[in-house]
Amino acid sequence: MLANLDAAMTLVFTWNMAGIILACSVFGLFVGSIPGLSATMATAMLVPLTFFMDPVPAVAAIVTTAAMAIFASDIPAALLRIPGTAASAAYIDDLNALTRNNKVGRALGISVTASAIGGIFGSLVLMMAAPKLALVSLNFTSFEYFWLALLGLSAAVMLGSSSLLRSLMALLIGLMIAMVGMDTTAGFPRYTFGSTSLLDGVAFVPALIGMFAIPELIRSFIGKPVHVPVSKVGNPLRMFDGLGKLLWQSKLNLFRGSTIGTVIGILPGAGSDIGAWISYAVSKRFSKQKALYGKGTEEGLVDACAANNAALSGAYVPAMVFGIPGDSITAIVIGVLYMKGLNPGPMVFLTSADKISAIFLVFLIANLLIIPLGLLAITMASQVLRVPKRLLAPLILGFCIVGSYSINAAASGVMVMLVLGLLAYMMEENGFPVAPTILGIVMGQLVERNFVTSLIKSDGGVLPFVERPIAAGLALLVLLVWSVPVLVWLRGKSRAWA
Amino acid sequence: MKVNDMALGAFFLILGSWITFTAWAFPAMPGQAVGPGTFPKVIGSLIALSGLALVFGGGNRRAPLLVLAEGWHNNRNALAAAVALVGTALLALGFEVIGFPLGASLLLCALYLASQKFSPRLLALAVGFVLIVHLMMTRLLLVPLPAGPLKGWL
Repeated sequence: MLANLDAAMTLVFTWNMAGIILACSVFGLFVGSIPGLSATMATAMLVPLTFFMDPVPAVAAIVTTAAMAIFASDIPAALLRIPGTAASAAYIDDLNALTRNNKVGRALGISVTASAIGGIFGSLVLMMAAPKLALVSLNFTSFEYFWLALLGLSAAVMLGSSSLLRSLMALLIGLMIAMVGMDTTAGFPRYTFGSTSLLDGVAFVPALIGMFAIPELIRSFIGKPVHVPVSKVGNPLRMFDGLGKLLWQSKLNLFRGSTIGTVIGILPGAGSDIGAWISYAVSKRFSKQKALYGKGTEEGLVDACAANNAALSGAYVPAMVFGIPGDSITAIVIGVLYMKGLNPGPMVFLTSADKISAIFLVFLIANLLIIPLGLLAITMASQVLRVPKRLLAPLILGFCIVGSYSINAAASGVMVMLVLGLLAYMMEENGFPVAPTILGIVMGQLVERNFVTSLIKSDGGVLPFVERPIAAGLALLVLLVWSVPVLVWLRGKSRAWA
Repeated sequence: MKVNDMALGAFFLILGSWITFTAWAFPAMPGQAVGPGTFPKVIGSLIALSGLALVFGGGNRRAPLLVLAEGWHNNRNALAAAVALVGTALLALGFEVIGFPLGASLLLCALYLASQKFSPRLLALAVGFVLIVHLMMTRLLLVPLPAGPLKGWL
């Protein structure tokens, strides 16, 4: 990689590239900050434009857009409690709680800095160790994926501040919703009630928008119209006040979040959203201030924000080395790479080493640009806080309708948003956390596919699930996660059970 | 809208049982013991068991069956929330026919009328916002939002 740095720099540091990177940054920030428009959607919209570009600018456009969109999704999450993309859902309550406590600048300051550091960490790993790491990830079979998914789900149950039983039930509701549609192994339609729009399953983005936005909207309509004074973001540079100290104190969290994000990103099929969830859960597990999680923890934000942007870079490891998409964005990138004659695989590192190094360099630049451009986006978006919530609520509903419709260009998305929004409202009113349900919807198909595939491979046996070393290690971790509340319960400290 | 834990538990018990019961009717894969019903059986059983746990171990078992949040007792607040929910459902059902610009404008105007004092500026804000969003989404982001009867105009 370093040997080709000179050649890579001549490809990257051109006016043409600067223009493309800047334009795509603005585009990514714009799309990411609109609830319902995902980073994947932004990437897909760029593909027609990449037809007219050289290989490096084409991939640079996608990389920059995705990195900015993933970060920008934190902005509506903090200001309106509506995640721009699924990656923000893990820590949305913390972002929003900090905003309500007049710390919006602080919350988004942490988000922008941790995202940039996580992204840079992931990019460096990608540059230094891509082929070696990809080899490890190829050892993952359905057994390992099953345990990994189960670990993520278990972590989600332990995440909430609600009772264990209610968190578990919330997760099961999410898994139940994920079962709707054609099953992943045999293509048999389940629980669709004859609706063709449900054959593909419950659309995730409308579900996400509905479950976070609709309860907030209902509460804003039925609540007393009180005006809560909210601090302005003011001078963007003030966001960094005290941030250096926090980041230094949270250096372990930054490293841990970035590492978890990168590793999760490398695994095919697991993207930045799962990286953020797992990182947040691990952060809570090892934190001394567990009670703050979900109520405005800065520590958890550092972990999760670093993880989601690190995962974005990590996903390019299997994509570049083996042509296996790490997530939906890299699936699009692989298509563009083929289109440009840069066929992904081990040989591309030899035949087009300068171009690959240039692409890696773009990763670094895009993640560095998150800080200045992110601050600009935050400053502009934070004007929203000045508007009384009751006045804003109908406009937010308008955005939610557009976002839910846009993802599949189908009105069924609006209905999904509404129904799941009402479900989330009922859940929150009755003390059920929404976060595990969201994760259940995200990971339901992954869990089921690997569970059924593993059962077929093992001919119904249980032993093969723990025969392989990585699978056994992950199974042990799952056991450890679940043994904690059981031990607490056995010690007679079961007051929080229900 | 708080529901008594026993009632809630009973609901989940019935729901879980129904999921498990219907999953038995799903066909197995040829030559395999597992199939589309395997996972739903596991999840359905767990939901039913959790429901049972809530019935016997729930915290507010002696609470009334249903308690509405305070805000729902205010007629104007309840009307605004109802307009938002029912209006969105109606818009979803007729989205392709009425289109986004007209449908969403009507919904937002109705919401402002239900939740705020009458103000022509708010109605203008609603219509202006919808038109800007429509143009931004269709022209800039190429999202095919249906224009409904205003197709020729926009």
